[in-house]
Amino acid sequence: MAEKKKSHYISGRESRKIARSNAKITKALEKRKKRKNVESEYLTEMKDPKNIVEFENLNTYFYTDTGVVKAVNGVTFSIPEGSTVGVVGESGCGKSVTSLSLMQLVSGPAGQIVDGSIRFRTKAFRRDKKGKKIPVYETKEENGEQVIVKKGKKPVLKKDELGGTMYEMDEKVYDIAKMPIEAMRSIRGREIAMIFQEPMTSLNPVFTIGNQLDEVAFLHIEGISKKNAKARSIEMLNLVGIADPEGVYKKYPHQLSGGMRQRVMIAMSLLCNPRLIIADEPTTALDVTIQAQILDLLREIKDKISGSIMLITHDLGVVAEMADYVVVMYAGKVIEMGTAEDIFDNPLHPYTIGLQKSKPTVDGDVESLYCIPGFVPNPVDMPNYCYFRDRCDKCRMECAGEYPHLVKVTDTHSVACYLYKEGGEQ
Amino acid sequence: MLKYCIKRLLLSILILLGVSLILYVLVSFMPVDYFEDQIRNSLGGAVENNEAEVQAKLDSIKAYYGLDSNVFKGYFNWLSRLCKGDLGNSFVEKQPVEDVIFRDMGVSFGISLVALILELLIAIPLGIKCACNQYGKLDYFVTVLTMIGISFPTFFLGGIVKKVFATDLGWFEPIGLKSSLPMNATDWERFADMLWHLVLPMFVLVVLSIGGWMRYTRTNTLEVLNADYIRTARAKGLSEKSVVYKHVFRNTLIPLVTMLAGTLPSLFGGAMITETVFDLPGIGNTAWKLMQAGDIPFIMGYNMFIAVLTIIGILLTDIMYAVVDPRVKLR
Repeated sequence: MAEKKKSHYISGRESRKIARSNAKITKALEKRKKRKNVESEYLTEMKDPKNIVEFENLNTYFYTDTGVVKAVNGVTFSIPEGSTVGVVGESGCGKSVTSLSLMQLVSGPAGQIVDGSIRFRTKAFRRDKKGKKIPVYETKEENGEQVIVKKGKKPVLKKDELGGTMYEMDEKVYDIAKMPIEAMRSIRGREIAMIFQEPMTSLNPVFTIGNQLDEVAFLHIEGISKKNAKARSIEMLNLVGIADPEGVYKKYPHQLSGGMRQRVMIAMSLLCNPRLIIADEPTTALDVTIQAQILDLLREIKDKISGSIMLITHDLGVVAEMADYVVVMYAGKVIEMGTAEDIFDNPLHPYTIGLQKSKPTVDGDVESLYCIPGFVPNPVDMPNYCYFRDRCDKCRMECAGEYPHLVKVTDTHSVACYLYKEGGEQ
Repeated sequence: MLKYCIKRLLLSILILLGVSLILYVLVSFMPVDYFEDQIRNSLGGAVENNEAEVQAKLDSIKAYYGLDSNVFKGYFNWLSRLCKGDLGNSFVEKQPVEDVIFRDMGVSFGISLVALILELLIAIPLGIKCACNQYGKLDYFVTVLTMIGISFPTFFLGGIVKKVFATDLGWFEPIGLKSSLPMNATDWERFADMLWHLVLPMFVLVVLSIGGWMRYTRTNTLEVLNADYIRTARAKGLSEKSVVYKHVFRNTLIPLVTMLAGTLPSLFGGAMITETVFDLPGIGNTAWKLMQAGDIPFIMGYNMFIAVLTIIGILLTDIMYAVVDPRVKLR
């Protein structure tokens, strides 16, 4: 039996059993995503009001035919307002799935957020008793009182500078992990925007750039005119440093280079002044000179929109350049997190140290590049001990025990390893 | 674009020449001889005694029609007449081939067009629905049903449908396009009567090809649904409906439209088996009958007609590609 477990072989009976249980679980979870009018169920409070996003014990699983893959397995970290948080790890460690969970874009029905919460501080529409959004009316002062301006009998709606109808807004905290898709839609693109890894395939090939940009404005700014939407799109294209925004507006994606397309993606993400931009390996598919430009651009716009960035990458150099805080993930778990200085000057976890060592340096006089031995364990049926144990060069007796918890070594620096205890080294 | 079209049309003349040569050679080897059949029929049972007479008559007729010389000479004769716009007279129908084709084409075109529209109206939404609920109950149900539809041979399904709904239940008419109506029947009544006759053949046509379109749409939609730009569309906050019907559908349309342009020959060329089974006066049915009779001018004319349609269909496919997909440029 023990031998059988190790191999990837599963019998027909096992496979059918897995398929049945998968179907049952995913069906229930899919149903949960389609609930209606249940705001009270996902309304929550922030633990720390300085944060904009808090992940707590997030579990995102993929129910595959060979078993449950725990792509994100109890991830806890937070993104403070106005900061850049870098999430680092090798391929398949769950960093992209973490970000997709934040957008509820994990591709169902196989991929599901199973447990945990993602708290997000958002501007939400205030609604009346019927669930309708409450518009803001134009007011004027009359006899020292604020009176609603009326045109005939109808009150005049107040418009923002783009001509969109304004609504009364509330600052609310939502638990995204529990939100139905329908409610999630007003957050996607408006409050959280995402830039994807592959600029070459991330834009729809049959629509013009302008069409795809305007779409966002039409969706989230109610009552915006075509002219204003276009003006807004062109303004954004200008902002991301595209030389001929009017021309690019009319072009199709295939007529642009990869770097230009990534700029368009960034412009698209900026359209509604989001609070959080998720950049999922934004520079991986680009060549080095363009990489630097795109990173500069991201840094620039972060200051302009005064939002936060969640930067996902496997490139330690990018993180060092960009991030205020760094989260290191391995096999679906956070193994170390802290400020950028903590992680780069004083890495604690053997995996982080290994990662640092395997980074090529210009001045280093090395024959061959360091490489962490072994492989990431099979994601199906993970063992209940430190996932890095079998590759670790500092493995000890305790490591045979259950998975180590995150311990705070300093105020900002946490690590999940038996080598350390609260406040310092073991 | 225009330059491309002209280039393609000039090229297609060459293709048509090749096609016609091959066709002519094949037709000349056909194991039926219209004149021999006619002569033997006219002589009745007395054939055995008059073998020499038959041969003599046959030779004289063939000489008259220019069919006695060798194949290539015959081909060039036919070709030179074609260049003058003369496809020859149909042996059986005793009128110019083009007249026969245009006479019967209307019925076939009407039937095929309505059937095609019905097919698309049913198959495309169904295919998209199935793709969006992949491996769901609806998906399996529709897939099994359409697979059954595809696997039936036309004559078999036609026969069964005729037996059950026309002969046994008597709901519809088994054959033909018109039943005998009183002289004072209104146009509307005549039209309704025609529709009544067309229900079964239409049903057979639709059931048989719905599966292909459905599966094609489903596969393409699935492929597009997994594309990165669909994830981008969702990340914008678009509703699932507008994701599917704007972003996905527009991309699924590319292969569908091009395939649609390819159906041109079958649209005008008639559905031979269905028309024969239900004895409809369409071009497919006529072609079937005249081919059996060995009507060489008609066979040549009809097949060339199909060849021209095919070539136009392919050209149309290429043009449609450029129309629906901005990435394609025709040069």
